[in-house]
Order: sequence, then C-alpha cells, then structure tokens
Amino acid sequence: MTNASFNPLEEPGQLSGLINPCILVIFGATGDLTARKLLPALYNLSKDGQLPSQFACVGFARREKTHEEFRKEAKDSIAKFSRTKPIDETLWAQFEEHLFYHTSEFHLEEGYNRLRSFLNELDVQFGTKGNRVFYLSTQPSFFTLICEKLHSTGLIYDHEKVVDKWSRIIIEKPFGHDLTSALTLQAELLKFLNEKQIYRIDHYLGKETVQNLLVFRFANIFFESLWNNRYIDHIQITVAEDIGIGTRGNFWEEAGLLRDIVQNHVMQVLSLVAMEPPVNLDADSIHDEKVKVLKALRPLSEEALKKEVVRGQYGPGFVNGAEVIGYRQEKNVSPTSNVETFLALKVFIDNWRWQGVPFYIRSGKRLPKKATEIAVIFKDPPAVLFQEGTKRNEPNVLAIRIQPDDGTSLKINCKVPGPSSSIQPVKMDFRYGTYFGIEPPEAYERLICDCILGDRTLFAREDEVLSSWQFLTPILDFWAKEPTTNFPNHPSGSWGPRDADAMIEKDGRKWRLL
Amino acid sequence: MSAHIIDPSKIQSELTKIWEGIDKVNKSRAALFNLVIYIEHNKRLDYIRSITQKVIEKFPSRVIFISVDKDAPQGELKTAVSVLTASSGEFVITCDLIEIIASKDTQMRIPFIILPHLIPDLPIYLLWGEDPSLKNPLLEELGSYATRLIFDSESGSSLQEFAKGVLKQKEQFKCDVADLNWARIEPFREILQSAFSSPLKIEELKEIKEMKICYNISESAVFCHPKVQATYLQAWIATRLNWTLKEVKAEEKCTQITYQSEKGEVKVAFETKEISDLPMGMILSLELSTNKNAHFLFERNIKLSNQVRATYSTAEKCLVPENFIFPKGGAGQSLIKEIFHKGTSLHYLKVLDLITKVDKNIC
Repeated sequence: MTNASFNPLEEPGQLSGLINPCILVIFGATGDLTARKLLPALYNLSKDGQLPSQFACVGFARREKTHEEFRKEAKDSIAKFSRTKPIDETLWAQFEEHLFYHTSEFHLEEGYNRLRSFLNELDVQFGTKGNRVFYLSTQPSFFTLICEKLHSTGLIYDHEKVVDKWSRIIIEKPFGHDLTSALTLQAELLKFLNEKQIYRIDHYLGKETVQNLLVFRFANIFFESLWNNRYIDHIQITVAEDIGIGTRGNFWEEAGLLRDIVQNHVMQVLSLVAMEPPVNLDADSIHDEKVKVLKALRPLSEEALKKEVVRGQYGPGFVNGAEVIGYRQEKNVSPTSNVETFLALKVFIDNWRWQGVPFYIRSGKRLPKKATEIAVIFKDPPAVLFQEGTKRNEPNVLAIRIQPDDGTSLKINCKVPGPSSSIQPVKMDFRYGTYFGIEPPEAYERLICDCILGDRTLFAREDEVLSSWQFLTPILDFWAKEPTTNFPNHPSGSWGPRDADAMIEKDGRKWRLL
Repeated sequence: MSAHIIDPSKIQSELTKIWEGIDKVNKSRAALFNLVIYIEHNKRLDYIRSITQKVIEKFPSRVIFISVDKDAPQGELKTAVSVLTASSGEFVITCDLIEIIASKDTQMRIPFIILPHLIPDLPIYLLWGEDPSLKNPLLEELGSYATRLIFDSESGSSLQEFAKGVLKQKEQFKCDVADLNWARIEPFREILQSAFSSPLKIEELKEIKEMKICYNISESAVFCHPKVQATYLQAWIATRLNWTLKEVKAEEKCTQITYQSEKGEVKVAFETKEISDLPMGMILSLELSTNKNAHFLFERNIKLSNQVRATYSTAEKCLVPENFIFPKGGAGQSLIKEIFHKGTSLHYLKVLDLITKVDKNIC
C-alpha cells in the first residue's frame, strides 16, 4: 500500500481502538434521560477505562446551577440508575472533576458564546483538542434552534474544511412527527450541519442482541439459507412493555405509540431482520441495505389501513397482580384522549426474498409483561409423514429475544421416547446471561463510544428515518381522518384489543404467547 | 490438586455426579470453548491457575489442566474433576475442571485421557506454558487438535529460540498462534497507532533516529525475563517501518540495537527501573527522537498504570501533553485477549521473524 495516509502501525482486527479526546455537551442536562441513562453510561465507561482522561462533560440547561450542584445530582442519579453498584468513591472523585454545568436559555446566543469560551478553557485544561459531541436530549422543538445557535457561534465546525478537530451532534428520537415534519427538520439541520455530523440515536441499536442479529444471520450459513419466503411462513415482531406512560403524559399526548416506538425501534429491528447481506460492514453499506427494506415495504391501502392496522389504548386493569389505572386516568392525559398506546399491524416487503411473507408487528404499553422478541415461524414440512389425520405438527420457531433474558431459542419437533410415535415440540435455548460471564454494557455506553469514534453504523441515517416515515405517515393520516370511538379497548395486563387477535387469526395464524 | 482423585475412566461419570448433586437453582453449566493448559510443576503453576480462573470468570469454558511433575514417582498419573464457579450473583455460571497430574514417563497417556472429554464443535485453545522450542511429544500430539496455540515467551530460556519454536509450531500445525507477552504490550501498540495516525505524524515516524525503552525490573516470583516486552515493542516498530537490522551489542547491563531505516541509522537503547508495585517487564516509557529534532515521550503513570502521558516537542514548540487511557488489565487479561483475537497477528509473526535473525541472545 502506498497511500500517504497508510498507518504502518495499524493492524485491522487486532487492536480495539482508543477513544478520541473530546468534550460532550448535554443539552437538557437536568432531564430524565440524562439522569437515568447518559450520566450512568459515562460513569460506567470511565469505570471500564474506556473514556480518555482528555474528556469532559458539560451539562447545558436553563435552570441555574453550580458545577458542584450538578455533580451532586449526577452522583445521586448514578448511584440510583447505574448498572454497577455501589458507586466507586475513588473513581467518582476522579470522574466528577470532568463534570461541569453551564446555565443558559436555548435561544440566547450569548449563552452559546459563553459556552464556546468555557469549552476552549476546558480544551486547555484537559487537552480535548477542540473535539465536540453535542447531545440534544431536549424536546424535539429545540433541535433546530440549538443547531442554529451552535453554528452561528462557531461551535459547529465546517465538516469539509476543518480537519484537525471535529464536532458531532447526537439527536434523540423522535426525528419529526410525520414525513413532512421529518423532511422539514432534516432540511433545517442541513443548513447548519453536514449529514456526516448527525448521529440519530436509537438505543435499540446499541443493544447486544440487536447487534447480534447481523452476526446471527450472516455468520451462520444454515439460518441464512432458510431466511426467505420458501421456508418462512411469517414473522412476528413484538415490543411489549408492562409499564404505563408514567410521568410522560404530556409527551404521550403529542406522540403516541407509533411515533415513540414503532417508527424507530420496530422499524430498525424489522430492517435488520429482513435486509440483504451488506457488501461489507461499513456503516453506509449496512444502512444501504436497511433502506432497501424500508423502501420495499408495501404501502398500506385504504383496505389494509382499516383491517390490518389495529390501534388500541389501555384501560384500567391488573399488571403482575397489581391494579393499575388506564391511560386516560394518567397524569397530564386528557380524559377523552384518543392517543394510541397499542398498535398491531401486518406488513409485507415486496422484494424477491420476502414476497408473500407477512410480518406481524405488535407493540404496546401495559401489556402483561416486558418482552421484545422477533419470532420466525417456519412453514410446515410436506405433510406426508408424522401426521395424524388433519392434526399438524407444531411449526419450527426461531425466537430471538431482545429483552429481557436476551437470547435465542429454536423450537423443533422430537419423538417422545417409548413405543408410540408421538411427536413433541422441544426447545433448544441459548441465553446470553447464562453463557457469557460478561455483563453487557448499556446501549448508551456503546452508542456514546461509537459517536466519539466517528462510527455511524449503529445510528439511523437520514433516508432510513424518512423511508420509515413515508411508510407510516398514511396510518397517522388515516387515524386523523377516522378517529376511533372505542378507546380504551383493552384492559391493562392483556395482550391488546381483540381486533388484534382477529387480524392475525383471519390468516389462520396466532400471536405467540410470550 | 485439591479435588477428589478419581480413576481416569470415571471422569465423565464423576462430572455428571457432581453436576446432579449440586443445587441447580439459578445455576447454569456453560462452556464456550475447551481450554487445555499444559505446565510443568514449577513456580509458575499457581500463576497459571490464577489466570485460568480469570478467564473462566469472563468466558466459562471446559478447563483441562495438565501438569507434569518431573519429581513424581514413576508411573504416577492422577486425575480429578471439580466444578469451577465462573460468576456469582443472581445466576451462577459454572464450568467443568478436569485436572491431570502426570509423571514424565506417563505424560504420553494424557492425550488418550483427554480426547474423549474435549467438547465437540467448540474451539480448543491450548495454553502451552512451556518453551515451544524444546521438543515435547505431548505438544506434537495436543497441538494437532488445537484451534489456537497460546504460548508465553516468559517460559522460553532464549527469546530467539522461543521465536523459532513458535514459528515452527505455526508451520507444523497450521493453526493460529498467540503469545501472552505480545498481548501485554497491546496498550502501547494501541497508543502508538493512535498517536501516529495522521499523515503528518506518520512522516515524522519515518524520521526516527533514536529510541529508548524503559522497562520494569522489579522482583517477581513468576516472571524472569523482564526484557521480552521491550524487545517486542522495538521489534514491532522496526518491522512496521521496514528497518533492517545492522548490529546488536548485547552487554551485561546494556543492550543496543542498530537498524538502518530509509532515512539513516536508528539506535535503540534499553533502560530499566525498579518499580515494585508494577509487574516485571512492564514497559514504563518510550522515547523517540527524529532527524528533525522532534521528540516524543510516552510515559506510563506509575500510580495509574493504565494511563500513559504523551508529550511531543520540537526545537520550536511543545504541545500540551496528551493522556491515553486504556482498559485496566490485571492477571489473566492477556490470555483473554489472545483467546479472542481473530487469526494470528501478522505483525507478531514479523516480529518473531526479526527476532530469529538476531544473532545474539538479546533477551
């Protein structure tokens, strides 16, 4: 290799790579996400020795607060929400010296100018070389404003011209609330940023099992060779939560389940399950294949919108034996709200591999249990052998559990020992937690690291988000046109409204009991 | 051997008995690979045992621990089985340990004992705790089953002979090879790769005229070749920059190596310090000077040994020092790294190749 930038010391696949020096600025530093996820993630990265000492974190928010107050609150949050407990006091003493707080309104340019000066001081103190990650953990309505101010005050560098330092933005979901707003937001952001500087976070992509999907599919020949319409009858994707909306009433009244979970998490999982093998593992090659899946989704006809999309809302009921209130009784929720907290739909991917294979998706709040699973239900073998009358054997099912109890199981048929020829389905089970002795890092740890390393593989690309909205926006439009009249339509603690069962049962199939 | 001694024919049945006898609530028996360890009875035995425990805590595996005792009475061959606890907490992960102690004259029976107990379809990692350059028929036998042969250059009496031995085994068994000492210098390799990643810095790297490596010579019960890591590090840089070896001056307290680079001669010198809190052989600092009067110093923080401070200066400027931090190591970490690296490091093979050409025992 004669390339001038060829690094002779580099040996791909042998060294793991060190994290670059940088400052992480969190907008919305007093929010729930910062307390529950971001600060614990940084602490654990530091604990695992994965953060460089040339690192600082600055919380940016409107509330007046000193560095010391921010650190104290951060410590409390970490003590409460960190995956590793208790707090290591020696480590904390070092870690807290890298935590700072900056008070400003999001719209005041003066606040950003002060921030720039402060970050420059921190560069000298910590050797962070001018590298910046801006994490927008705020309401989406502030995204454009913050980017505009960061740009006008020189905090975002020109991606093409500045080569000795970098600036990146992490954006939390939702990215828009429909196709039009997503397009507008993207156009606005591109006024101030290069697409390569935008990291749209979807924490599902940071989960080990989701990352394992590619390995599982493309590093094992026997799954991939069966992964098509010849052998697969249908696929079920379930994202179920047993909790309600808690204190997020205001947000849910605006968003609903389709925007909060389906548009991002479910669509990401769907595209990973259905994508073709990428030509290599570069971020763009993987994104290209995911986008092809989303673009191949069969648009939902008016008929399909009526019959194959089922919306629901939880009413009062019992979850895990405890009595719980319905959605309309939650705080900051209208008593006549028609916001969906459950969604079931059937989709088709019109490409060579998946022609005719339905993907059944269901997701909801206040379902009987927390479970995220992809289930691949295979077709029956030719019905010549091992069949008694019309009774069919159980189909083979490959279940990939994303959470909890991450792992994979395969249901196969087996002869019952003894003189009879009875057949019994049995399960071969792999569980991450009982196979590896390593505690997997939290999704946010992995994703923050990847952003600092400049690896966009596990972040959603613009066209993925837009393609997803393009497919789902007609559902929102249809619902706006035809508001529901039967909410709440299922009790808390059930697997959703009866219409969702009817939707799949009319095809001669059933939802899996998780 | 602390476990109950059993007849070799009863290994499987005893393991089953143990497993059936323990309370299996929230307990799981796991094996990601077969880890076969061979070591002769010496002062490193306990060290190898301790790093084995570290490995299974992260990656539960079926451990077959073979130790050959030269002083054992003729004909002695003991086997025992027990269960290792890989992790505690809500779910306890356990794995099997099969221990074999043999006298020299019975060691060739060992392959026949262990073969039925290698779990099929799982990789077989053979940690050979002895010098691969010494002929040992057991290595010939076990090596042929191994997916990966892991050596420790600590165990060789001469680094040059060790390098020849590893290359020979690699050629013979066509499997991947690894070396714990190579893994031990990974942090420094990471840092140098990162520090010299820009085209400008790569050009400066080519201008090196002097290199000084300082390593730790603290006393150790298990290590006795403190210079191996330093030798590897300089050889790695030399091979990556295509330097050719000119001369080696190996004197009792001072070794100097001279290479020829495309820009001129490069002198490599070794220095030592004694820091009792750090492992013997650990690299403490690396200094590089270039023809253009640039000076790079990579210095390990003695108190926080997973941190290295890098300073860069020229006649005109001195940059703010940079601090590199890498995951904390500890005993067993090198073995874990070497088990899970994919393939054999081509850089490592080139380093070995260079070391075989050194006509004096520099280490």
